[in-house]
Amino acid sequence: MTSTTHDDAQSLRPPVQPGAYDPATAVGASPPRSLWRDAWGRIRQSRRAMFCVVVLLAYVLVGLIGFTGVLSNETVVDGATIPGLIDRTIGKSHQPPSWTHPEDGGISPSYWLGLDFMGRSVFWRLVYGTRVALTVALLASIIEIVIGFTLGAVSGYFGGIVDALITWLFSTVASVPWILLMISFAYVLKNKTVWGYELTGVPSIVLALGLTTWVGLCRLIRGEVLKHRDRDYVLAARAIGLGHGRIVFRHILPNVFHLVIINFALGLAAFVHAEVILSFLGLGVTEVPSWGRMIDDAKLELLKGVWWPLLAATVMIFVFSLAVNLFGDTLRDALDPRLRGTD
Amino acid sequence: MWAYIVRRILLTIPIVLGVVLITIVLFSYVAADPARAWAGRIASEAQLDAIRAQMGLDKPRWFKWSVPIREIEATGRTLAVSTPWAHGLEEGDRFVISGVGNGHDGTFAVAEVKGPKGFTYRSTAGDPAATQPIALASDEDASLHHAELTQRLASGFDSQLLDIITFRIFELKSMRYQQPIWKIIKEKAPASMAIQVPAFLIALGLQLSLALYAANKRGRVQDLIVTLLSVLILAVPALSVYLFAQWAFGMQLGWFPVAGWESSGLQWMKYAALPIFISVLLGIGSGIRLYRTVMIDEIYSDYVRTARAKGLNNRQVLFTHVLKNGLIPVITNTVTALPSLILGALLLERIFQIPGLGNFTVEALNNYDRTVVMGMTFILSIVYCLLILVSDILYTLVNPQVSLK
Repeated sequence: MTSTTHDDAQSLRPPVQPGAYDPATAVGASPPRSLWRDAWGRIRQSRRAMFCVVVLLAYVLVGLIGFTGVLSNETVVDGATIPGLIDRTIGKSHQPPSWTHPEDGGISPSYWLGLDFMGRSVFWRLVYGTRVALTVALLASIIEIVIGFTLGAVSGYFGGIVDALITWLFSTVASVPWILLMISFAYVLKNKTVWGYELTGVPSIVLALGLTTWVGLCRLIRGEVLKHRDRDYVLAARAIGLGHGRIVFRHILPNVFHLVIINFALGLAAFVHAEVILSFLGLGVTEVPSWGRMIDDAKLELLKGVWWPLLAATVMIFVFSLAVNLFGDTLRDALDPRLRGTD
Repeated sequence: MWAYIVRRILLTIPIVLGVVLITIVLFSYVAADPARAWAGRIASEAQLDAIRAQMGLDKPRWFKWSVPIREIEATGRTLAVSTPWAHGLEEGDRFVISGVGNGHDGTFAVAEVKGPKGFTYRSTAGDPAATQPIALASDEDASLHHAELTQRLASGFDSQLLDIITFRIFELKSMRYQQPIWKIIKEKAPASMAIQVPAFLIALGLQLSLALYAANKRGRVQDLIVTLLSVLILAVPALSVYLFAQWAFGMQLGWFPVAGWESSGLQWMKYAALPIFISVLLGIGSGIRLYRTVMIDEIYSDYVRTARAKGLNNRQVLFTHVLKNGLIPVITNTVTALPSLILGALLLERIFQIPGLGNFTVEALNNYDRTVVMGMTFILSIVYCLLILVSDILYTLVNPQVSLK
């Protein structure tokens, strides 16, 4: 059975003139590559981008340590409950960084980056902060993408009054300076109870960031969907009777998804930086350690010459932003050929 | 082109209204009990009620029509009209009031009023909260058994909308300082401007020259260094730089005052120097990349080749041709960056204790001074809308192709 279909397929192909160029049998011809394969090939060729990938994977691994709970789990020693590593006082406050444990002399990561004003390990707080930063950036991106893509696609696809309304909405949101809008959202969402669930720290800043950053993506997707709406493949999909939802999400989405990915990669660093601003304003994460909180705490510590928590958190953010931005640039060049060659 | 400009101006109106809506909704209805946030945890219920009345939170939220009065407490008094513009009434017209009743939130105004002009006036006679102690003139006989409010009640939304469209928002008082926002802005703006304007101009000049330089040396080491510089600057958290600079240059080296401000004479320059320097340093990152791309596009276009073929030297080509043509995106980008100048850098002003608008806004956030945060958001958004409008119109004047769209 399988051999007959194979033969049928063979017989359907037009006869090939001997010596004529046939893409399927040509010597050295590679199979057709998808956009994503092609992009991955380009990224792999760039040593800079691959280095960024490795750095980002390291961040994810460090972030995962925070997710396992070993840092925040309370332990019971001799009947007394001891807070997790991130909240435990393990020495004098403001102890400078050292490779070894100050008492027994063994190598101990807890002291590598010194202790903060409450004698807590800066190292473990930094590790936990990675979890918070990645969670915030990732969840905020998801909200941004869902809102931005849906509104943009609906607007571009349907046009008319829907388009006018959505265009009005994003023009309006874009008119409020972003930093004020984000701060305002964080301000009004802080400690607000939604469906019986009190928004604290991470959820409220995720919402504040996600709900205020979708405008750029929405505008981009709207323009792109507008172009795709009248293309042949969409007409064909409509002709065979597919619904609007299926056309948008199954047929148009894959053709504009690279823009979503570029937007996602280039937006990650902005979320991490925004978290620092919110922490400084007292609108950020309060119950767990975060990079922003560590920098915020440093404003008093620095006066006493305690520089290690500030430096540690700053370097973490700096390296993350650098890796994300450089990788995002390569990704953009690889995925969107129109933008290629400008750098 | 005029048609385009007029249409563009008309398009701004719904956007301004949208901003009004966002501001009101965000601060009145999304915020978790603003009165409690302002008063703190120890405030009594009575205090909270007073604050709610001050914030206008005691009124119906959106719209409320025809609220039936549940109880009639008093009858037979006259009401002096104090809102002459309503229903063709004149000031001084006296009406017999048929009842004072309880509305859905407390005792308020009027039921059915029979007046000398022979018509029945069903209304709250204005704002339910404000007219609580209603001016009742004398006891006169009147009897009415049924009372119903058929006018739309004034709501919190109304009063805020009215505040905004009549520009009374500038007169709204800061809850903390009990001073109109407008007055505070006037007082605080100079310090912000003293930092922002020089920083902005220096940064713009640096961005353009570095971008032009990098574009000219495209692909060489100089280009790489400039590009790398901008990427590195973009990756540093601004707050860390502020803290570090204050500590290093202010405290350790003592080159600049650590923080503070003096507005007399030229004293401010002493305090402004370091913040301006940091602003410039942090501000050039994004611009360099953008302008470099713009300049490269221009350098590789046909007219530049023609200019070179004509025998112009590199400097003439760069400064009279490339820079001039590349300025359009620069102007657009610059205009849209202007509102942030008004606000000033929030964190920068806070850290260096500069008594500017940014610092003031942060303080308002810390104090839950809702009117200020709301007012600043709104005012800046409107300024932004207007600037975008201006930049779009300028753009059509520079580039006539736009008006064809």
